[in-house]
Amino acid sequence: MPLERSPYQDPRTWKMTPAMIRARKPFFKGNMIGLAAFTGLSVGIYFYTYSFLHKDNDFSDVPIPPVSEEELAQLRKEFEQERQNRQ
Amino acid sequence: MFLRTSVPVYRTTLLPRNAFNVAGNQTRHLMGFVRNALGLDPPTSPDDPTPENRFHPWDQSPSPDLRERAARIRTLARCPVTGKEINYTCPISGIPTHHSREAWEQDKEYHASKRYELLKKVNIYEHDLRSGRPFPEFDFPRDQGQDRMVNMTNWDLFLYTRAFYSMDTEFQMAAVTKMLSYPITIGSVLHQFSPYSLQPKGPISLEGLKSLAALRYTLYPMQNRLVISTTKARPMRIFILGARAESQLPGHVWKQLQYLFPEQTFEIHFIGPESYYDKDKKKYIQLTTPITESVDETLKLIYHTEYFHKLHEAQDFFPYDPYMDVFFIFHPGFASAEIGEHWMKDTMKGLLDTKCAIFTTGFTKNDLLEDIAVVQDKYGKELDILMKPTKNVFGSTKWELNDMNPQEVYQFNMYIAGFRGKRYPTIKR
Repeated sequence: MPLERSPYQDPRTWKMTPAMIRARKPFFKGNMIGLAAFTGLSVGIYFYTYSFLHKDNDFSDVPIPPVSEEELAQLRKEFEQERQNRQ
Repeated sequence: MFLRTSVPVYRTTLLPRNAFNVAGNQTRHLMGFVRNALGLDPPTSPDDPTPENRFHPWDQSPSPDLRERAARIRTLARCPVTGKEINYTCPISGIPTHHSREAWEQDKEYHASKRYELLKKVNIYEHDLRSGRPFPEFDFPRDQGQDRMVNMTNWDLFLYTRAFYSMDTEFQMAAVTKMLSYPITIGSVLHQFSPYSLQPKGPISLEGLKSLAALRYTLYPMQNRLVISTTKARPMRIFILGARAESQLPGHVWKQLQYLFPEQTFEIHFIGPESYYDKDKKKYIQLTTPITESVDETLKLIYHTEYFHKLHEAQDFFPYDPYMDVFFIFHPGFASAEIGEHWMKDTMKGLLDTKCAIFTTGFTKNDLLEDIAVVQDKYGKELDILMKPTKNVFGSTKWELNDMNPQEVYQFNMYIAGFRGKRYPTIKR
C-alpha cells in the first residue's frame, strides 16, 4: 500500500496547507539556524579541501641535476627526431 | 456579570470525509493546469468562509435566531455612554452596541481598544456556524500509533500531530476548538508533555507538581512498570462539577481525551442540576439515579443531576484517591452574585476535603482572578494553589459576547488555575 496522503498537503498543488505552516511556525527560527549551521559546515569543508588540494605545483622543490651544453643539444636533437617520427 | 445559564452546544452531523473531496472529480482545464504548474492557489469556492461573506448586521441577519438575539441585546443591555437603551448597530461589527450614532462616536474606549474587531469576530463566527457549509473538520481522528507523539504546545501543533482535518481558516478553528476545549484542556494539564511548567518558568507550584506527578503516575502505568502492582485496578475518575455545555458534548469528543492516554481507562462524572439535557424534551431533567453512557470499554460518561455536596455527604464517590481522581470546574463563577453562594459553602468544603487536585477555568482573566480571590479569601488557610491563574493554551478560539452587555467579549476556558485542599505531612519537622 502506498504511503497515506497527509491531510496537511493541498490535494492538487501538493503545497503545505496554511494549518501546517501555522503548526511549523514555532520551529521556523530553529530550523533556519540549523540550516545555516549545517550548510556553512559542509560548504566550509568543501572550500577548505579545495584550497588545500588545488595548489599550482611546478615541482620547484624537486632538485634538477646539472646538465651540460652538449648533453642538452643531444637531448634536443633526440626530441626533434622523435617528433618527426611520430608525424 | 455573565449569563451563567446553559450554553447550547451546536451539533453537526458527521459526514464522511470523501463527501467534500470535490476538487479531485473536476475536469482540469488548461488554465487549471497552468495555475497548478506555477503553484498558484486554486480559485476559492463561494462556500469557503471569509470575513467578508460571513458579515451581516445581526438586525438584518439571514438567520432568524441571530435577529432574535439582536432583539434580546436591545431589551437587556444598556448603552455604556448614555445609559439609555441600545438603538444603534455598530457599522464595523454589525452588533447593536450603543444608543445612537453620537454615543457610538463618543465612546473613545470602544474605538481605542478596537473592541469592534472582536465583536466582528463574534458576528462572523456565529454566521459561519449557521451558513450550512460542509463541516469536514468535525470528522475527528481515531487512535494513533505509540511512536507518533502528540505535541501539546498549542492548538495548531496538537491538531497537526493528532492528524485532525487541516483547519486553514479561523472559522474552522473556532468551530472545533469550542468543542474540543473541554477535553483537551483536561488532557493538556495532565499530559506528560503539558505546556504548563514549574514555577518560575511556568504557572505550576511545587504542590501542583506533587499532585500532577501523582496523577501522571496513574496515567502512564507502562512507564512505572517496576512498581505496577501499586496502581489500583480501577478507571481514573474525572469529576466535572456544575457541568452544562460540556455534558452535552457527544461521546466521540470526550474520546479525544482518552486517545491522549491510551494506557488508562476513564470515568467522566458530570455533576450538577444542569448536567443532563434531554434531547426529546429539550430541557434539563432531574434523574433519580445516575445515568451511565458507555462510549467504549475505556471511557464511561456518568451523569449525576445532584449537587456535589449531597453526593459527597452520601459518600457516593468514597474513597477519593489523589492518584486517581481529579476535579475540573469549567467557568464556575465562585465570585458571581447569583450562584457564588451555592459553591462557596458545602460544595467547596467537600471539594477541599477530598484532597484531590481541582482545576477551574474562567471566561476572562478577571473572571478567574475574582473566583480564585474569593476562594482564597474564605479558605486560604485550608488550600494550596497548584497552578497560578494563567492563559489556557487550549481555550476556545471562538469569541462570544454577553447579551447583558455586548461590549463584554470572552472566550470559553480562556484562563485556568488550580488548587487543592491542604495535605499535611505525617512527620512534622
